[in-house]
Amino acid sequence: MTESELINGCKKNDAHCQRLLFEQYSARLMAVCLRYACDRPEAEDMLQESFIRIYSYITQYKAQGSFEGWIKKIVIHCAIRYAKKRRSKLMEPVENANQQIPGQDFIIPNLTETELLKLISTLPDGYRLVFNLYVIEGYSHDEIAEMLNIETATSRSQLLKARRVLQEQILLMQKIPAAS
Amino acid sequence: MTEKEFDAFFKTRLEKAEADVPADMWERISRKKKKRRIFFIPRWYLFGVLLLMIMAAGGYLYFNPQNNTQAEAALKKKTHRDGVNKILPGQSVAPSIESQLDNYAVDSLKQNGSKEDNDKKSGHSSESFPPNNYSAAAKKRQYTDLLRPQKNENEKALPVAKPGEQLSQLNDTGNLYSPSMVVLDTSKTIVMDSAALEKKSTTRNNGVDSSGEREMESQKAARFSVDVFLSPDLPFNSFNSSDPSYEQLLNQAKMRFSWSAGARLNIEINKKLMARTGFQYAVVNQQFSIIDTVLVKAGEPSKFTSLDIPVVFGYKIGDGRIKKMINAGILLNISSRYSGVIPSPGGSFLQIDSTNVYNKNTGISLFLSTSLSKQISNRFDVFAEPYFKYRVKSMTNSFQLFDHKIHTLGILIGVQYKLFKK
Repeated sequence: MTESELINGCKKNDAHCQRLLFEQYSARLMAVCLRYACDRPEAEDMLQESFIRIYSYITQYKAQGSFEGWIKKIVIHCAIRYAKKRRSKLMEPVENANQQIPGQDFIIPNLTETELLKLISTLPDGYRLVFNLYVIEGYSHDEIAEMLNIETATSRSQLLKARRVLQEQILLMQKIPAAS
Repeated sequence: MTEKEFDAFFKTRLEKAEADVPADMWERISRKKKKRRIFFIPRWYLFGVLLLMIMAAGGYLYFNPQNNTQAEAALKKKTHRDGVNKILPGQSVAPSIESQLDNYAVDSLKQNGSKEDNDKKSGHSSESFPPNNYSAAAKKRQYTDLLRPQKNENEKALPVAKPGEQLSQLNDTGNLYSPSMVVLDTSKTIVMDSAALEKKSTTRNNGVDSSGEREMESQKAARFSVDVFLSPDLPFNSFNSSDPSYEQLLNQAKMRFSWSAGARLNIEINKKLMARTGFQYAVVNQQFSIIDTVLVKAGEPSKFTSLDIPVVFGYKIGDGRIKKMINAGILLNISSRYSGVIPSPGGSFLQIDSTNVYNKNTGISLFLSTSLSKQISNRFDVFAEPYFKYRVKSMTNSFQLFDHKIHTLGILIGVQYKLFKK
C-alpha cells in the first residue's frame, strides 16, 4: 500500500489503514515523544494523544510537504501543550546571551540513541524544549520565541544552558577529563 | 568540538531515531477513539436541570398552603384583638362574640341530643335545636337565650349600667372592671338565618376573612414575573495557538450581525434580591479568510449557536420610577451547534459542523449586567439590560491545536410580565 493510499484510507476512517499508519510511524514518533517528555509515562500519553489528533485532523492534510513532517508537527504541538499544562517556566532573566561555553573541547563517546534520549530527558523543561526545537527540528530562535511566547534572547539563553548541562552530564557519565 | 559539531551530533543521531512502543498502545488509542463517540449527557446539563428543580421546589415551599394557614391564623388573631376593643352598643356584635355564638350553634348542631336532654342541659324550657331539623325561629330564640345573663342565686347582683356607660374601675363587689369595658346592649339580639349561619361556618372552616385574603394576595403580588427579550450582540473572539501565524490568521475573522433572544422567570426572594432563570439562545456570525498564494480567499460564513440556561441573581439599587438592578450569575450551556468553515493549520478551510473541532457542550459562562426597567401598566414593565458574557472554557475539543472562546457584549431589550396583579 502506498503512502497516499494509506492516507486516503485513514481519511475515510478505515480502521485497517489507521492500524497500518500506527505501525509504520509509532516507533519514530515514540522517540520524538521521549525527547520532549519528562518521563516515559508522559511520553506514552503524548503518543496516544498525538495519534488521536492525527486521525481527527488527517482530512485536512493536502499533500503539501512531507507527511512525516506534518505528523511530527502535530506531536510537537502536543508536546508544547503538555509543557504549558505543567506550567513550565521558560522566562528566565538573560544573564549573558553572548556567553560562550567554557572552553572545553571534549569527545562525545559512542552513546546509543537510548542513552542520548535519556540524557535529553534529564534536562529541565525549558532547556529540553528549546534544544529539541532548535537542534533537532531546525527552528530558528525567532520561530521558537513565537511558538513558546518568549523573547528571542530567552530562547538563545535556554539553548546555551541546555548545551552546558548536556556536556556536564556526558562528562559525568564517561568521567573523561577535559582535553586541553 | 564546536557548538555546531555538538548540535550536528545530536541531530544526526536523534532525528531518525526510533524507540520501543508499549504493546498495548494500539488498544489504548482504539479505546479512546471509541469513548469519544459514545453519547453522554453533559454534567452541566444535569446540574442546570437540578438547579431549576431546586428553585421550583423552593418557590413552591415558600408559597405552600401550610405557610398560608399560619399566616391566616396570625391575621385572625390580629382581627380578633381589634374586634374586642371596638365593642360599642348599638352596633353589631364584635366578631369574637359572633364567632363564639357560631361555635355554639355549630356545636349544638353536632350534638345528637333529644329535646328533653337539651332542656336538662340548658336549664331552660326553651325549645332545643333538634340536630337535623331546626327553624330560623328556633335559632333566634337560642341566640336570645345566650345573651340573657344566667342567674346565679349565690352571686350578688352586679351593678347595672346603661348601655354605652363605662363602669367605674372598682365596683362595690370588689370586682375590677377594665376601663375599656363597655356594657353591651343586651336588648339587641342577633338574628341570623340558616343561610347566613352556614356561610359563617364555611368561612370559619376555611379560615381568614376577606380582608385577610386581600392581604395575602397583595403579598403574592409580583413575586413571580416573566421576561421576554431580544439582544443585538457584539461578540469578540479569543484565539490561542502554539502556532503564531495560525493564531494570527484566526484572529482576522470578520464579525457579522449577531444576536440573542430568550425568556426568564424571575422570583423575588425579598425586597432587594431576585433570582432569575430561563433560557437564552445566542447566534454568532463571522467570516474567516485564508491566504491562497497571494490572494485572500474568504470562506463561507460561520455560525456559532448556543442554548444556555441562566442562573442569575439580581440586586435592586435605590428607589424611583426607573428600577435599577445589578445582576450576576452564570450561564450553563445546554447545547452548541456550528456551521461553516474556519482556516486549518494546513492553509485550507476546515468544516466545523462535520469534524470534531468544537465541543457540543461548552460549559459555563459568567454573566454580569445592569438592568433598568420602567412600569408601563399594572402588569407590564419594559427594560433594557446591558450585559457582558465571559466564556470560561475553550469551545474546541482537547485534541485541537488551538483554543477558541467567544465573549459577548450586548443589550437585552424586553418586556416583563408580572404573574400576579398588584
